[in-house]
Amino acid sequence: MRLRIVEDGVRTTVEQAIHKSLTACLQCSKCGGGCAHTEEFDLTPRQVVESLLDCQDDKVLNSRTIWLCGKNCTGCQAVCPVGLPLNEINAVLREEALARGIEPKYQQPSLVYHKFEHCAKHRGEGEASESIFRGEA
Amino acid sequence: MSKKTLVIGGGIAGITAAQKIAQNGGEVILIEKEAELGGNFAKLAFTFPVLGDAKALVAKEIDAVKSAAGVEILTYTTLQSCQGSAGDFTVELKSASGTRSENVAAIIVAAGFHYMEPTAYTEYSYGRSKNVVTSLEFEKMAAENRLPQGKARVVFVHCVGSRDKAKGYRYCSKICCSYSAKHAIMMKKANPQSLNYVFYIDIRALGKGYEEFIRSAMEEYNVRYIRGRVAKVIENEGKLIVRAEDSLIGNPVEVEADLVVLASAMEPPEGSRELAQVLGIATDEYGFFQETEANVRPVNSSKPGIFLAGSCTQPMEIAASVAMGGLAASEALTLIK
Repeated sequence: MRLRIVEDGVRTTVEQAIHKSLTACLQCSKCGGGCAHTEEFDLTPRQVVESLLDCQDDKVLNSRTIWLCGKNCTGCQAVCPVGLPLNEINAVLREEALARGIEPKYQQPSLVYHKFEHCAKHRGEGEASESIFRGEA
Repeated sequence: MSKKTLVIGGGIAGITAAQKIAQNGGEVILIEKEAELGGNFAKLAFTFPVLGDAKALVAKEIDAVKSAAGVEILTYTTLQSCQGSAGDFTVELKSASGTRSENVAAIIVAAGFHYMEPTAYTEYSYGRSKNVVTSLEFEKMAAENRLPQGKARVVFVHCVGSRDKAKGYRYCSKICCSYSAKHAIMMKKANPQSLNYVFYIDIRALGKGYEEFIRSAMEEYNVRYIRGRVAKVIENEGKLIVRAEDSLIGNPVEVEADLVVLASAMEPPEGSRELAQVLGIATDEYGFFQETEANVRPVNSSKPGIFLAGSCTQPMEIAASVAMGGLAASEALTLIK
């Protein structure tokens, strides 16, 4: 299916809030590459940005990612080479989703996710151990 | 009035400039702050896009400049001060044995570049793991036959310090795409069992034969190119885990590697701003020497009589440094007639 690219969407609200244009994205995908919670997401941070640019508002606002990404973790925005504030972007999207009556999608983040989210000490261990678990499985 | 030209820097740009001036009957004082001529070129094992023996190539040029009539070479020597104007500069040169004063008509700045130490990139475990190395260290390993043996997996990481406003430089270092392909080819040639991966954002191969060279890495040497900037390198029990997103599918990926090579940015030479101050010429926002006009006056510094050559002006490959050295020589020659 061909996507018709337009400019009017929730991206305008996001860009006003972060005082930056999303077109600044370098499109390198470093954000998703280092993400420790990526198993929980349906969209990578980079896909959120690209979908916003494409004005795929429904896709973004109905995603799980915006409810999980950027709350107690700065992994992606810390490594962004152009300094896009991904935490803030997701915060604006959560607000926008709530305003539109979209239910938060908290359902079933895994225990691993909770462990990492609530304990900074385990976050570092988890990142290393995660891949070992996956390697053995 | 003097007919001499002072060339600052004994890398390939400075060597070329000195040779060309001498060939046209001019006299040159070539100063180099290190012990040997050759600069960064001499630290390489191979050239691209043709895998030439870098050390042999540069040795030939060093021999030529050493035997050229009218070229005086001073190693361990730096510029202390510079007075005067085009056609009549008084410079003070400092070496271990003391300082000496010279009168020169023109000055060519060919101070080279420095490979950025990626210490800010803690996410890549540089400095923590001995198996995470810079591209320059990889060249050294290759020259000393210390590349991984057997079924080793080697990951090459583009844009470390380049195209990174947050931690490095905004500019593209221009040659990393090509030299990473060169490294992957060198690796495969040295160890046919090795499995080589390159993580890229865009592939910039802007030179004659460059695109074909990179394609050959993929087609003939089976190097896997994955589009996505590496986000993390984690060391775990002697192995490295490289994490990125394969952005063409949008899928997070990880590769277990034995060696990770970081293509660190080309940055201005150490002390470039201080040297610019001594000479009274301008630098750009990064500390590279600033030309008066980028397109038609690429070797003219902000001060008449002082010319620029090579990678002290912007990241560039050997061929471009040689061309710039030649042009700077020709500009200098106009002042010694």
